[in-house]
Amino acid sequence: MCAASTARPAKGSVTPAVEAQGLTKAFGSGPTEVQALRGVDLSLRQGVFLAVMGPSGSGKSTLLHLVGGLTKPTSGKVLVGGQDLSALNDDALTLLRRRRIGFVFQFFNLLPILTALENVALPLIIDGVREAEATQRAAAAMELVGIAHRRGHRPGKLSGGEQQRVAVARALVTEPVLILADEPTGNLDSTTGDQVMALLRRLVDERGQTILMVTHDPRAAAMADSLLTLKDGFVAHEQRLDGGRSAGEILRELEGLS
Amino acid sequence: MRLWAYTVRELWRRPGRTVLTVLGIVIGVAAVVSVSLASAGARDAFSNMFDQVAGRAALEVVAQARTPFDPAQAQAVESLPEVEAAVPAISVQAALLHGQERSPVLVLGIDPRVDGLVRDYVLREGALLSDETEVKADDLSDEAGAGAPVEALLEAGFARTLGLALGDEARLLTPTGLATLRVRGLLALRGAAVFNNGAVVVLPLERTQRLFDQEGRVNTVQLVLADGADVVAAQERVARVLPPGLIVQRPASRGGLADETLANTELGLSALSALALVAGAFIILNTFLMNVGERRRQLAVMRALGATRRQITRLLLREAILLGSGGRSWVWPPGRGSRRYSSDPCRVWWALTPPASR
Ligand SMILES: Nc1ncnc2c1ncn2[C@@H]1O[C@H](COP(=O)(O)OP(=O)(O)OP(=O)(O)O)[C@@H](O)[C@H]1O
Ligand SMILES: [Mg+2]
Repeated sequence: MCAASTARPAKGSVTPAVEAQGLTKAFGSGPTEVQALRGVDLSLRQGVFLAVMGPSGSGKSTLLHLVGGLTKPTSGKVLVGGQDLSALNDDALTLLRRRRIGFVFQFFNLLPILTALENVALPLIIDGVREAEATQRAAAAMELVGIAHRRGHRPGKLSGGEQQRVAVARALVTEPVLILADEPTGNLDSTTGDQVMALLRRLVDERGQTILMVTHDPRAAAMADSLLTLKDGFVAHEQRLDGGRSAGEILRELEGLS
Repeated sequence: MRLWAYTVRELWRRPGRTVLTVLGIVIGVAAVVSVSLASAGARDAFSNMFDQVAGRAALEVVAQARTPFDPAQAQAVESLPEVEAAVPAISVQAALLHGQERSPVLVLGIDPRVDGLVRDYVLREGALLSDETEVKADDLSDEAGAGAPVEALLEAGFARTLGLALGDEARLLTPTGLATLRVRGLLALRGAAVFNNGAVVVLPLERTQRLFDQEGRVNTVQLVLADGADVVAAQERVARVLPPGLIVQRPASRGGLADETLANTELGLSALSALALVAGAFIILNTFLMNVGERRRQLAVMRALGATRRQITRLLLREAILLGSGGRSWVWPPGRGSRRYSSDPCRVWWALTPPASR
């Protein structure tokens, strides 16, 4: 763990963790074509926590998937840690996802057959790490998110908040440059949601983790450093959230937008 | 640690689904295997039946046109060292009449002195044909000899359906008119009596030839080879001494009726096997689709976590092989008893190929 945090470049170093230039994405073709994104630019410094908000269907998830290399843009390009994703073939892209990006999903997406610990270790197993080492690193990640006492349980036996913390540990275990989270609190009650948000905040503050998070929840968004608002596939708004803006203020602002 | 070994835990952590999957495979494989075994069994039975009629002869001489011929033409083969014995026979269709009962029969005219070399006769009651049952040619020329009842062997069950007992007389409708037969022996449904489902009448050769206006002619001369003689070599030697119009063949390719029956049966069995294969494949495919469908989300998650397409494919293949061999060993438990079929994929292939394309 310590080795990883010292290896990580200091907050605000020159290469942005993520850059997107003129991103567009269309689904389908002809009369059924949907323009999910219509030209999005983005630059995210390392160690920054960015929240993306916007009405349903505004293209938030699409943006996240493009940045994570899960889908290819119709035009424009994405750079992760300076690496142009469009230059990578499927295997190289998969490798980049495996080692440099961690995902946290709304529905946790833990494998039900594996224990919490095995789930957290899975990305390392996929990478060919020996099980003993993978288990050890997974246990450390679980410790970090405060869920170590549940390591032997299967996801079905865990509460939503616990499952999401396991998922965060899984995203962390490979020590990625970037964590992508799609509505990580969307399926949690507000108290557990707050706990997960506090955890993400702590990762940014203590470990210099870069996070890009999509959310509908102003309470969650308020924990970020910056807020990007999408509307109809465009960036409608971009602002820093430094210093004491309350969730209520953000909410009012958003309501004014739509 | 290999990824597949890690995720294969799924199989024993969810035993219910695993058992269902294996069961699906078992049913699929069992359908194919049982039908092909049944087919092979039926095929064996049929070819056995024809073997019994064709007998144990390794080769037979027939006319190219499948018409009756004079066995004297083939006499030269008897002097070949490879040929131990030459057994002539004639078979013709006729009808048997007894009281109100009448039945089409196959008449088999045999030489009682030598026929035992190539065909089995299992006697239930009475006596077999012998030298004396063959009335000499000069006796036949006088009226009494020609009019004397012909000694006949019938299959016991067939005789019973006609109400015929040992010593009874029946009439045989032939091209030369009605002849009187006397039941000399009743045969078990084995050997030569199997042919035509038992509707067979075994008569002495010369009387048969006369009754059917085929004096001095036979359909086939079956050859019993000397011990250790090579069939292929012998076939070549025999072919060389035969006059034009006669051929020597392996009794496996038998004329007319037998071939046709066999071909029809084969076709039916092949269709059945193909159907079972399709059904079996469908069940297995369905089982796997169900599994993959259920796990598509999991696989997508694994892709997002950085598993390559190749890793996922291998994972599923390993699992399929594991489940498949599990299912297979239910149907064919490893061991000696199953060797005969499990070690012989040709058998299944054989069951599935229509005879015409072989
Ligand atoms: N795979 C797809 N095929 C076709 N259309 C799609 C696909 N994915 C997204 N879309 C469309 O693209 C648009 C943007 O979708 P996206 O999921 O990015 O929205 P979102 O902002 O995440 O919405 P939500 O807040 O409801 O999750 C929507 O109109 C959606 O219907
Ligand atoms: Mg979405």
